[in-house]
Amino acid sequence: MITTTPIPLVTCRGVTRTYGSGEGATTALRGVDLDVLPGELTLLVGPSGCGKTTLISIIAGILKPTAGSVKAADQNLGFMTERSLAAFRAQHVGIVFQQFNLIPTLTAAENVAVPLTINRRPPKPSRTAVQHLLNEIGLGDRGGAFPSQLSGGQQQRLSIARAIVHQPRIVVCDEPTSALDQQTGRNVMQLLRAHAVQQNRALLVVTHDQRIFEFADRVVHLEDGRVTGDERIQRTPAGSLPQSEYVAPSQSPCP
Amino acid sequence: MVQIALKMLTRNRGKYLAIIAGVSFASLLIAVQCSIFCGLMRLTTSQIRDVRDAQIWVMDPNIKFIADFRPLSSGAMHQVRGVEGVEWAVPFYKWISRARLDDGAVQDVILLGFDDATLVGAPRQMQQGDITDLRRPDAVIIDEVGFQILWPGEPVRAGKVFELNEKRAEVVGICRASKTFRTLPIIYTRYSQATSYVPPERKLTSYVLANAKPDESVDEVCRRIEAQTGLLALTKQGFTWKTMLFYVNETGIVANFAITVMLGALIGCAVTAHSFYLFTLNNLPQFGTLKAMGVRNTRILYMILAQGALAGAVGFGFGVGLAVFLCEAINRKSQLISYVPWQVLAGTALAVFSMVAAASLVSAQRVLRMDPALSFRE
Repeated sequence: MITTTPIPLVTCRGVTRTYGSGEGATTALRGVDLDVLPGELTLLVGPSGCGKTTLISIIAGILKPTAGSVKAADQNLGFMTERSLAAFRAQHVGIVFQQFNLIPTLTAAENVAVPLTINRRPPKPSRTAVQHLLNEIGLGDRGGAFPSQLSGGQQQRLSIARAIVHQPRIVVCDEPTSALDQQTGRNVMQLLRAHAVQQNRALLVVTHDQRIFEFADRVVHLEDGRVTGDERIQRTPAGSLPQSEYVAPSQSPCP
Repeated sequence: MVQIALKMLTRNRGKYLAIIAGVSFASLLIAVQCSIFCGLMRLTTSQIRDVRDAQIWVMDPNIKFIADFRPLSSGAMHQVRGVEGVEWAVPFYKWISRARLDDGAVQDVILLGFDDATLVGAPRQMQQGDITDLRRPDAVIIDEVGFQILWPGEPVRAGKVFELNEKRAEVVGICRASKTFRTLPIIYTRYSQATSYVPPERKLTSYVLANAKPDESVDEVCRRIEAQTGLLALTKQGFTWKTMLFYVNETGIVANFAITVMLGALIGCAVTAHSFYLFTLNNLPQFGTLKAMGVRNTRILYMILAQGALAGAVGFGFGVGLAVFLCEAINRKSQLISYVPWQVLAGTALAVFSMVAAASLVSAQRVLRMDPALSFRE
């Protein structure tokens, strides 16, 4: 039987990011190496200020690394202009924010449709795609509701729908469950697995929430701007979710 | 994206109304002030406009405006008639006289005398009586507003008798005339009758009114009149501008109005800019999210400009609509007159849209400079 190694969707090599200059400069990332495979749910964990959000911002094409290289969705982000990076984000990246970041004056359906509008997709198929996705996330009858009329869980589901409606290859999530209760958080993670990972997207989730570790395929631990642990979670053959298999990461920095 | 921008604006009712109110207020202030100024300027030239039959006004070269009396010699009219291209020329008399009423009350009046034969310069809108009634002895026509000044509270009707320079004058008709700068009654009569109401003088022609032949250029005929007579010959429009420019240059009216309009515009501008700036600032997180999702700065700028354009258009519509309504009310209820020419509307639109565009661009700076990565740090 021949097995092939999947090609990483995201490749970071020696990624360093420094904010400011001179004596006030702060280094958020120090030579991070990371490969993210398609269909993989990767959790980025670590203490506050360890560089998790900076790392997903760089992978999403929002920030540029000060040093090192980032290749995502076959594009070398380090050499791209701001305009190209914006186009890259619009086309290849879906983002789920901690506070959902829905536009309060747009309805649920209009919020989900925003990435399609950004990508200038034709309105009619867009409406169909949005309605289909709203049905799938259980908000099919709430398309006309404004975010303020929805619960936190519903808003986060909407935020996930918005992140995947344009079929991006990479989805980054910043603390997607921190504002949610346990059950809602589990539902959100199941939704993310169903719609992101199973459709062969690379999913990177920044989190402090240990309750969701069981959903991960891999846990990458960051500390002081370095990767200090990288563990793959073994799945059962049927692919069911493991029961609390998370093990404390190694304390040794990655080479 | 523009649709998203407009929904962001219009569905935020409170902020939207505040911006609309600001723009409307600015438009209202600018339009009303400018309309009152234009109305005032029209008042100064109303008697030129009311003489509808003549294309050319011939006058003493030193005359500065319509109410600047510098009589011409009786030969002036004949000189003008002799100029090539002149179809006809008639005398026109204008003087401030004094009317004495039955009860002994005295009131200054504007006395206008027009050619006995042609009646060029006679009022066109008669309320009572007929213009031909002026052929009767001592006959005069008075404007409706003037009648109410001379005989306040009395029903407006022909038949009233009064004295002009101790000579009998009988009102045979009531006409409608444009309001004048000095709100005085206007007495219309034949030229020969008018000159009998004033003390005997050698020069009794205020202006010569003339028309160019149909195939002649009016400007060219004016030039010929000036060359041959040494008098000043202006087209109706030219004399209108000369009169208005006198008030602009020689009085403080323009400066006063300019200050008021500028203050109004500044206040409106400040209110609008502040409201719009706050609105954009309020939407900063949403714009940041859109930038993180891949919306380029140029599209963000279009979104903000579209919001400004809509707010500007709606606010301008409301403001100007209200201004026109107010001006109409002013015209009905007061002696002051306002006038809203298209130039006022165009100027107001230019001012308001420049103001909104400036406010949009200033408020957009914050958004354009905003780091999309901030969306992760809220």
